[in-house]
Amino acid sequence: MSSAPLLQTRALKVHYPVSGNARRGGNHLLRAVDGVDMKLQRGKTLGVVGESGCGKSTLIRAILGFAPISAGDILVKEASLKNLKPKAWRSIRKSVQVIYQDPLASLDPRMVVRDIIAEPMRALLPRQSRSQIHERVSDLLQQVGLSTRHMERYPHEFSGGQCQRIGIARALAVHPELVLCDEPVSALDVSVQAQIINLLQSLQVEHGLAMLFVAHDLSVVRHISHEVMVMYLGQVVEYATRDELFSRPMHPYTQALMMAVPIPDPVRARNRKPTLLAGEPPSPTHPPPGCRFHQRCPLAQPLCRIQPPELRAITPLHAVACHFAEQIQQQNFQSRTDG
Amino acid sequence: MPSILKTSDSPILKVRDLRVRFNLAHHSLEAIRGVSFDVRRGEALGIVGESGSGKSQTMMAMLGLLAANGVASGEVWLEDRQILGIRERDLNTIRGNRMAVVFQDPMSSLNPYLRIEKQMTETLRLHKGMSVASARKRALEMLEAVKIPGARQRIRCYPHEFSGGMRQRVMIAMALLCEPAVLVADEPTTALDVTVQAQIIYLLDDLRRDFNTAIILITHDMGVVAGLCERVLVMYGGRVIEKGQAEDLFYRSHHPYTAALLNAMPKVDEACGERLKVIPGSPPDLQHLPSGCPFAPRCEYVMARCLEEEPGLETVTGDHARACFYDGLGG
Repeated sequence: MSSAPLLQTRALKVHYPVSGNARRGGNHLLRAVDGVDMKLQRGKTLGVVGESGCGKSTLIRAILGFAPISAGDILVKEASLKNLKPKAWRSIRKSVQVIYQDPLASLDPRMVVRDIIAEPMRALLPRQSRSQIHERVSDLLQQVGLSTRHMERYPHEFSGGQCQRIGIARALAVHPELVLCDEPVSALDVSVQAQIINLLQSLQVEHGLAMLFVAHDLSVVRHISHEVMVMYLGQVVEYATRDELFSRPMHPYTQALMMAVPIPDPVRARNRKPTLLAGEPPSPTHPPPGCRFHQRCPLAQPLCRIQPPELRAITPLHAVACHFAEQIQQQNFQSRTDG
Repeated sequence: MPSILKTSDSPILKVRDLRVRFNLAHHSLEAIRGVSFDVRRGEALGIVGESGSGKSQTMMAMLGLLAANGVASGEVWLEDRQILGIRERDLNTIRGNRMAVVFQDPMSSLNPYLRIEKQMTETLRLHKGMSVASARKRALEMLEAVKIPGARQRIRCYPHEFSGGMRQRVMIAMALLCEPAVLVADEPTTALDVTVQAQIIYLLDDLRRDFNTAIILITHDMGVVAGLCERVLVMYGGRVIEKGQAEDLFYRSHHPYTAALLNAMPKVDEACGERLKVIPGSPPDLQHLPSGCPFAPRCEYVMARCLEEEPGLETVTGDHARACFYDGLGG
């Protein structure tokens, strides 16, 4: 962990002004990302989970320069992305690429596959001959499990899974070091999801890619990540190595999230006694005072209503933003020794 | 309200050899090829499948909601009355009354211009001939039954004033107003967050017991099915390829597709192996269905026979049946 991280955010905030109803206080700020610190090392995957409105997609947009940095900073290879000149973005684009959720919508319907994959190469890499480009595109197609004969076809001729493969090939075209994945498998059929997850994993090993993997599906995140960050209303509530987080979740929100994931096992599903969260996440324009989760938290105490908990390391591998993390950790331990 | 689950043996809904064909410009396409199943009172049946499996068109055909170029054949018996292909006028006395639907996207199924109150009472006034006052009372009770906080105030709201989860609760309340015999829920939680999804699944399970309504849950998510349904149909390429008790399918599946689908899912509560077991290829395109078994091109146990002949649905034990020639599974 001593080497400089490939990607880092420092107290990153992304706020949008929203024009609002005058009766409800007029214009205000939507705090999409509200103080996020994260680090991603080369060749590793950081999974980001949370429900809609938690800021996970805005985080990706900010790293791509599509959302304003209101405060804090984003560093790619220790270089700040703040106030970057348009020209300087070109070198960032070479190291940072993205894969989107909707595989078909993220491909230009009027371009053939060859041009879709070659476009970032033409835009960002030193000039190459047609035959060089042809060779590279056919190599990329093979890497993602398609073949050279697909080169002259249009996106609509492909299935969702195949479109996602084309999107992956396009992201890899410029030899990036970091790939941002925004829900890359959630639009795919279950039988196809597994193919894409395996493909991403082997490409990661082959090319030493770092991945920021944003998803709402905890099972997928558990499978693919080395570290996991759980977000709630623009803030990180828990941040740990994968096995730590899934075997000893400490934040009540993470615990509830895990209990809510449907498990494909009828007997266990019926016998599970879930602590259902009441209600839905509050609006990021009016986050509650104190701990942002306190209104839905089964363990909330008076303190939680007043004082926002800070993200603090409970063990070297595990950080939690909850006033009562130690007690929860203790209970976890007890219930394991009792059981 | 009665809270004892009465699962009588005679089915309340019987679907027999349902077929759906869509006429396209130059040819026609068979989206459903002979689907049959029963649903008993108060039972939850899951219909699982991927895109193009025919799960949603099965529901649309049952409800007489197929697109204009769609033609359905077969029989659909609801409470001893054949309802497939009957006049629109007669269908309207059944839909929303004896059989109701909850769609995936609640916003597009509610009228954005009307208050919830108006939309809910309309159903009761139409089907039950209730007065305004008693319809309003009934609507309020139903909003409370689906646990909408502050129902008395919320009934005066417009759809956009509700969150996604609350809107889906309103839809469920509306669907249950006339105490239908069958509630069809088409991917009711797919657009919702996991914590809200869990709330809605538990709500559906409670309501089914309270109202003794049968639920047909149409979904792509095996996890959701496991949480709610006693019996399951798995569809692929327009046919049922396996059906039975949930336990039969989840623990003793006799069809390579069902087994592979369960294996391909990463599990949240299990430490991960290195690689997921994949099913190669993608779900079949109904316009180019392979000859023989539609799953054959992706099946790891494929035999010469599978490429020529399509297996029929055959009983394994009790009401567990599967359509496959291979014998080595489920032992």
